[in-house]
Amino acid sequence: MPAKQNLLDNYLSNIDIIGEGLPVWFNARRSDAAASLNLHGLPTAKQEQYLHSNIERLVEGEWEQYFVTRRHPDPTPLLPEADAYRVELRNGRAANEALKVSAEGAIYGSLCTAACSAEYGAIVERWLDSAADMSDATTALTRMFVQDGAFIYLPAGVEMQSPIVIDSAYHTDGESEMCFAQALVVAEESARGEVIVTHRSEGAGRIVVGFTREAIVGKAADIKITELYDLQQNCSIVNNNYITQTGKSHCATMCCKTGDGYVRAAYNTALTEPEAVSDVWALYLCSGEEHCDINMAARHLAPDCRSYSLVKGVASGTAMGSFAGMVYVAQDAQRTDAQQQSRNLLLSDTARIFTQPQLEIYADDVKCTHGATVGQLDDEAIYYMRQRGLSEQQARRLQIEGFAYDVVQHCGCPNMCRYISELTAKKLEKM
Amino acid sequence: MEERDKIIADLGNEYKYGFTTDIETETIPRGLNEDVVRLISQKKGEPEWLTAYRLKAYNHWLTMTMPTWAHLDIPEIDYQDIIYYAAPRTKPKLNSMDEVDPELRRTFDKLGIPLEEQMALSGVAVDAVMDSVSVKTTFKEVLAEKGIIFCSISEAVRDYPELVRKYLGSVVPYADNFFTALNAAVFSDGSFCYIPKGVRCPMELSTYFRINAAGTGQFERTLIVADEGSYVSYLEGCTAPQRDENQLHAAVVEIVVLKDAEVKYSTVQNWYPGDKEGKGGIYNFVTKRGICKGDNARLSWTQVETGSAITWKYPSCILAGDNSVAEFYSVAMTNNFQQADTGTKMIHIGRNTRSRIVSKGISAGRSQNSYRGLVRVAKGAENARNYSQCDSLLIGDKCGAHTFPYMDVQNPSAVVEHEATTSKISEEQLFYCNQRGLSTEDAVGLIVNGYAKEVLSKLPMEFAVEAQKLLAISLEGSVG
Repeated sequence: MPAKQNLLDNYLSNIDIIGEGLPVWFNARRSDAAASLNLHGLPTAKQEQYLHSNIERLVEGEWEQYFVTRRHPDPTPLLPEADAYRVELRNGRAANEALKVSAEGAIYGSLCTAACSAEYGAIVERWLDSAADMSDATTALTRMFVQDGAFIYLPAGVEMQSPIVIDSAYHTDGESEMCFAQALVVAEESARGEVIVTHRSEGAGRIVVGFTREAIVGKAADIKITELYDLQQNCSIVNNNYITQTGKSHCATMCCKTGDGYVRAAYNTALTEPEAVSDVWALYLCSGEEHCDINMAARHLAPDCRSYSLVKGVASGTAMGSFAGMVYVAQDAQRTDAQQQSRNLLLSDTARIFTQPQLEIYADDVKCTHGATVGQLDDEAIYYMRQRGLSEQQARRLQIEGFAYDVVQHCGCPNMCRYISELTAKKLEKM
Repeated sequence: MEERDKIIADLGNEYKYGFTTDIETETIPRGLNEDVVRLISQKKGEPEWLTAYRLKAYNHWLTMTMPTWAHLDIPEIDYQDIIYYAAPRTKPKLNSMDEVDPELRRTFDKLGIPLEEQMALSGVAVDAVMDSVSVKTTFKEVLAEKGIIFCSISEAVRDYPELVRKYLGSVVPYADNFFTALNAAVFSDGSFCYIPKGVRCPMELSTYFRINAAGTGQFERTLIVADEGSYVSYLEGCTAPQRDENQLHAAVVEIVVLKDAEVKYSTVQNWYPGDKEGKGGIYNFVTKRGICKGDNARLSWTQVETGSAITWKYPSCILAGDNSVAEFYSVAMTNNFQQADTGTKMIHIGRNTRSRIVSKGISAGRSQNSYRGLVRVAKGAENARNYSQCDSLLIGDKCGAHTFPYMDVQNPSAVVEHEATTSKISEEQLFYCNQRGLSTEDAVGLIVNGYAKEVLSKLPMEFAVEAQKLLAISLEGSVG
């Protein structure tokens, strides 16, 4: 049976359990998403956006889906020493259902609880799915099955001192499991804060994760998002991120793939009001037979906005890294300043890098540049280091670390930055 | 800004080369089926293998659909409403220039390139392709001395069947895409060029394409073979009469470059782009591909695209031989409602191969101009090197400029770079020129020609002059 039909059948036969305890509007949008998936079908490699990701193959076969809460063994604690507020997701569900309020006044906790709450239900209803594109099949798929996730709300003027961590861990022992989660970050006017999202996996079974994160950045708000993919080889994630920025807001996103699992991540930023600024840094390290597919789109819909993105990739073994970027400038988005850079290192004969930085421009007073390079380590630099007593291995490592550091340094939280550096170093050992 | 309004008002200057020549043409009924394919083949007196090839292509074409991935808005094309064959009824005898139809000669005169003058002054051999059958081939004897074959493809099929059979479809197979299948089924004529081993072609070879009879799609087929150590520079230039009805042009150009040989292929394309409301104009869906088959082969594409309502064109190079070099220089200019999706493909297969892409897009009016390019480095392509530069210039705020580069690298020793910028002509630049007494229009022409200079300088001399004129004509009035 085709994968799409399988998923839709599973949805229809469990429709009552999936939507249990959730508001009517929440479930109504769920059926819209199902209709959209039914209409568009699962993406195949023939679709431009999914040229290098075969989603159909990823989700075909037998998968378990659990629509009720289950206990999972606790994963290794994440950054126990860091001073942070935490939302813990276990296979897509919040480990603690209660909503909490931070010292600074931010609200964080389970998305399901927030949606059902009298106080925050309206906020969730207003912003959830407002940025996401349901014509994208994997976004629709996640929305169709999602039951919980993370909710972060920064009321107007709130300035966070410590980051809020969404610690999303996935675990399965023997069976193949599919799970879904959604995260909503709303920052009201002039709010400031940092959100860290980590994806980790443990256990012996295969997992496919569908994740959608939306961030709504209000007027003059300043948000920093750090996302880490530290997945085992048997865990695959399809993560769709949507960021909507309003006037004079700033959003900086840093994402890093250090794990061994398959990652398909899309970062879509819409700059809807003047003078919004978006920065995105991404790093992916692929060794062995891994595959990583990064999509990045900056949509300039208003004048005087600025966007910058830098994506760095390293591939060794028989790994394949692909990047597709798009800068879209609407007709009235004059004085746009957009930059898009893709830098790649190819370390072996059998690895493959695919990069595609695209521009689509309908306004004339713009400054748009993009660049892409694919190359190898600089022999002269290695020679220089070897002259100074480093081994070939060390010299190579040092050069790759330096290459990666351009991205890693943009992590705001020092503890997290150190943690990512360690994972990067560990990953480089394998390359 | 009064001047700007005025200039924008006469933006849609009439197509200078819009006229029809009254040469009687012989056509076959509209539509396409197996019988039409057979009829074309029969009318041209083709051998059986070619008829079979056409039919295979036709049957394959039936299974295909028109590609939709390009950033183009193509109105539906009724392929059954096209006349697939038109030949001048009175086939001129080809002894001297005097015997060429005076109407045709006047046509060339109107284009500003009198055939005899061109022949006398610049030493260019012109294979004038009017509609589908080659009417006049010049300088054949001079070339024949060197052993160079330069003739229409139908003559080549008759006189050099082995060569044609060996190379036809070897670079662009009929199943490559929708338009190549269509072309392979119904191609009426085109040019064939063979440069023997070690021969340096003493003159630039040139074909002047014209689309003439109303409603006849032109399906040109060009095949160039440069044998070991040879050199040729080939020019292709196009103008077309003004028409209301959209005309379809689906040409195929194949180039085979053998060991140590070099081919330079230059195009100036100025087909009718449609009027300023976007009515009419030619659809230009062309497949051009060359292969550097032997070691040290060199292939260079230079194109200046100013015409056509819709352009879909990606001159490509397959760098199969070791140390082969490929270049692509392009200026694509769109105005009014023109749409262009053009670029190149560089496929690196051999070792130490190098390619360079310089693409300059200029969009004005309400046009859409896209660059789409692929650079692929295959596994064994050690030390492959590519540099791509794609610049876009926007004139006016209703046009679009897009860049879709694809890079696929499978060899770690490869170095692939891509750079792109998008900008407009700045007020400061214009002000500076105005201050020095240049009209805004002249200033724009100056700036654009400077912008495109890197590409124009790659054109052979007489072509460069024409290209500059074309840019200025296409640009008239479009000030941003």
